[in-house]
Amino acid sequence: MHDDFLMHLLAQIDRAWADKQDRTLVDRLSSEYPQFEEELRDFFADLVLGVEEQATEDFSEAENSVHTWVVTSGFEIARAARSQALNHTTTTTTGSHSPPLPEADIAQSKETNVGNARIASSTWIALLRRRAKTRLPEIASALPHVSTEYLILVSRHPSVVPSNVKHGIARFAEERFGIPEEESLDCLSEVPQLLRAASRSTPFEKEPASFDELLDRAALKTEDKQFWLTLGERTPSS
Amino acid sequence: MINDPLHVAAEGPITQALSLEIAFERLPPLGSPEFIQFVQAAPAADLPPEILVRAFRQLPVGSDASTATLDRLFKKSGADWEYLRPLIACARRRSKRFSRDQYEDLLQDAISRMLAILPSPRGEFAETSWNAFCRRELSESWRSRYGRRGERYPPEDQPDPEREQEPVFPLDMPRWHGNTGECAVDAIEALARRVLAGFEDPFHRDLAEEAWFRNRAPRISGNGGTSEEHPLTAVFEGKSRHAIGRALRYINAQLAAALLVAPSLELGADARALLMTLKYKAK
Repeated sequence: MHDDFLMHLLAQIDRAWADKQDRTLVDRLSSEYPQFEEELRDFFADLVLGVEEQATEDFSEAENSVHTWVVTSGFEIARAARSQALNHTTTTTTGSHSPPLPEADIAQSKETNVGNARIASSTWIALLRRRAKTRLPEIASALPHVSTEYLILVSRHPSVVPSNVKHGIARFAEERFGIPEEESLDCLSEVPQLLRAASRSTPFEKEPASFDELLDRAALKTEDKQFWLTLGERTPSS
Repeated sequence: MINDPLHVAAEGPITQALSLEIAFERLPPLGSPEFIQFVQAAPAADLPPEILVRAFRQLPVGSDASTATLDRLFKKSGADWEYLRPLIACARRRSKRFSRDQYEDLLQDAISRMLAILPSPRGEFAETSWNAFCRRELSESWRSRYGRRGERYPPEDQPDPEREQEPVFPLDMPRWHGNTGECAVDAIEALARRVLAGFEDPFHRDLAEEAWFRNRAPRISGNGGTSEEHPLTAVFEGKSRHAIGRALRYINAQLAAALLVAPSLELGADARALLMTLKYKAK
């Protein structure tokens, strides 16, 4: 409720500035609700000033990377969620109001967020970054037969990764970064847990259905792709 | 003065913003080729993000129009995210001590949440205020990762004190002296006085006096030299440099906002360029 009310105040400030160029509302609301003063004023400054400083090279790279992800993969999230929403609600083509969120959905959404927090600290990528203390592209450069995208895909979709491949890549991480193989394997559990699936109760439509499909998306060189395919086809005991 | 770009701007969208309802009604038929063309080419001032959200939520899944709408909403030209500037500003500010990967993860989580929630009932909020929606999801992403009070922040990733720097906030707002026409100086200073007088918080009034009406831009902290150069932490004892920096940013935003919507002013080229940039940022 506390956050909902704050967001309601922020929306008022946004609309006042966008529609009427009213810059005084933020001051009035800050006086009226001193508990939100800093958030309200920071928000207004962000609206008017936007991004004032040039990003550092690191942040600029990060933003480029996120944008690339948005257009190559991120939009799939919205498409899948939209399909899901259509299954639950009737959306008219002329109306502007959607039905209110049922209490059950709110509760489910909150549970999902709590779950995500737990998952966030246990993904394999998070483990690699934390232990290697370097950026993901550098981790990828240090490991044989992988690309950055491949590491991300393996971390996100361990359920389609053959056991031999998990062991193989976990061993590489141990050899290069000293991360115990067991720790990597713990993170690469079979349970499909999607950190990116905020507020969704079902998997996205475009999950890789197989390891082959994952490899196709991973932008690997032909020989690297063949390496993982061969490893994945071996019997677990080999 | 009718050829003055700022004057034209003052008569244009910035002072005559259409209500969201009217703007939506003026869109070409959803999904039509004209709609796609409009979404791809219209200036941001004519295409509020809330309208794009509303259109996206009504368009068929995976249609060309739906894709074009998402493309526009998350468009990035060079370093500029057209409709995500306030989000990026906030994300950068919160991540000043972050590594590249931490910043990337936070930003990606926030946008991922936005994309997942946008079509859902909770996404309706974005039809009213896109920027508040973005802020909400960024805050939720932060809390999911680090906890409401940062209690899940990994101990090994705690910020390195040696890398900690004074919070960077812009001290300089348009320094109009030497940057404007002679007769504009009085008008701008009068405007700044009005902005100052309108602050309800006395600290903001005093800070504006120090920041805007001294001969030299003050420093936030440090050892003062002459009495004229006392840092603001010395002038405002009891206020932290962070609190001062934050308040400075706010009062500067108020001044910028007032200048943006003021009647035409005889500004120099630099000041004009700065305000035009702010105008587009503000949309």
